[in-house]
Amino acid sequence: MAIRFDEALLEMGKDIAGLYNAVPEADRLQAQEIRLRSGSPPSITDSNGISISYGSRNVSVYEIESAFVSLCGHSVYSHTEELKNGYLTVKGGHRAGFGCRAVYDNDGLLSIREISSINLRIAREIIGCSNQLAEKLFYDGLCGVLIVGAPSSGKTTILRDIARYISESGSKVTICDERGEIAAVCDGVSQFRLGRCCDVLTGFSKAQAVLRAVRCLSPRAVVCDEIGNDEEADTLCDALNAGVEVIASVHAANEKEFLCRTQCLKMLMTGAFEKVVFLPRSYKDKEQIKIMKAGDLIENCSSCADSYMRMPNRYGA
Amino acid sequence: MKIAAVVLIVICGCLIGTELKNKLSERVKIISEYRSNCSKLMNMIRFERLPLDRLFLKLDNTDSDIFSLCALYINEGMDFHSAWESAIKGSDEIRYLKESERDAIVDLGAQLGRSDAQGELSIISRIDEKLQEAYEDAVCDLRSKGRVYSVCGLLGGMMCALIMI
Repeated sequence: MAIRFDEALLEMGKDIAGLYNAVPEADRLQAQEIRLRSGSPPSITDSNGISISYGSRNVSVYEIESAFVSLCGHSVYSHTEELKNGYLTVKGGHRAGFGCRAVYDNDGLLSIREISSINLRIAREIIGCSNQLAEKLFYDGLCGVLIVGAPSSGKTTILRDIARYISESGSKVTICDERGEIAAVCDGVSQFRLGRCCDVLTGFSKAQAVLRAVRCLSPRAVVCDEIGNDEEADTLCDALNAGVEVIASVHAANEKEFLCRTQCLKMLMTGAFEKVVFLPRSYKDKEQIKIMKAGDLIENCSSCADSYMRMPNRYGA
Repeated sequence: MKIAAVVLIVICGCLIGTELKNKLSERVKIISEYRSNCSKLMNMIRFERLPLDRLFLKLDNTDSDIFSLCALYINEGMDFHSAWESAIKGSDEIRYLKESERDAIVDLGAQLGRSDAQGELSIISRIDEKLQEAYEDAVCDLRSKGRVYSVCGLLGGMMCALIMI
């Protein structure tokens, strides 16, 4: 993790990396985020979500700008679409988010400017972290799984490891990596271990990637991160009808929050997911990982039970 | 002995004249190469959106000293802006250019990579306009001064030879 911290830090340029010289090795190991805010000292967020500042020197706007250009690989124009969506994935799969001002034109969001803060989330690879979970999920064969968790709860890390688990067990899996976070492909090579049967579609929208995967790559399972909108839910239906299992993640801190989100319910009702995994806030509490059957979950939610029963899906009504 | 010295002086005069003319034609060649690279850069940014380091690695086989050096430094692991600065410092061809032309080339590297595709294209296009003017000026100089330098070199050599005699 300390290596990953240094690797992520270097993406912001050598000058910015110098600001973090004072960070002790123990903190580097624990760091989940590297944060720069103009007018504040450089800081990191540890694994408990606590922000720790280093030194008394405040970061200048010029330094933020320089870190931004460096994160863009000195080519801001080649990341315009990602920046419009509010993030940027850098080499190594680390994801940067920006505090900035929006620039609109008649067609919508044009670009961003006046970068005032940067949050660089350090990508983690914990090989084997999902082995136990995958064994529980797939003991009777591959099935659709929805992984639910709060931000920074390790959804992407688990998804990546599940993809590796399936791939190494000999089943073809396609990762639909819209943001380049799961596989972090750089110059055609993934920065993470993904096994021998894994194909990656990077940069496509999830809808396009799933269709492309089903048509051309004949996977047993499709893995994608943070699904949410209606188009994506519809695409999952297509994948389901093509006999492909979908393993995806979605933001929600717990069961209650999950059931309050209509989009999540809609996704469950597509029938694409047989099981739902609820992750605890921190991966350290992995004993608290909860697996539920999608059918049970929907039946628990009385408000949607009727509509669920009327939906023609794999649970059959 | 005297005749040999006279011939040598005339040849030296001619060589100086030719060297001055070559400088002018070298300037035309360099500016023309930059313009061609600007046009390639614009096309690659418009249609490929590759980051600058990859674009410059693609332009590696160019005759331009700065572009080749920049690609070399990028290959060695430098970021684009540092590579461009180092390439300018290490370039031989920059001495053939006038100050305003040098500034345009320094600007090109300093400003690239900091805005969206539209912004990049307008920056390159603006620099290209400057280089277009510089090219016309260089061609004009080559036509008008090139012959003058050659003739002056020859005549200067002959005059020195006559004085010696």
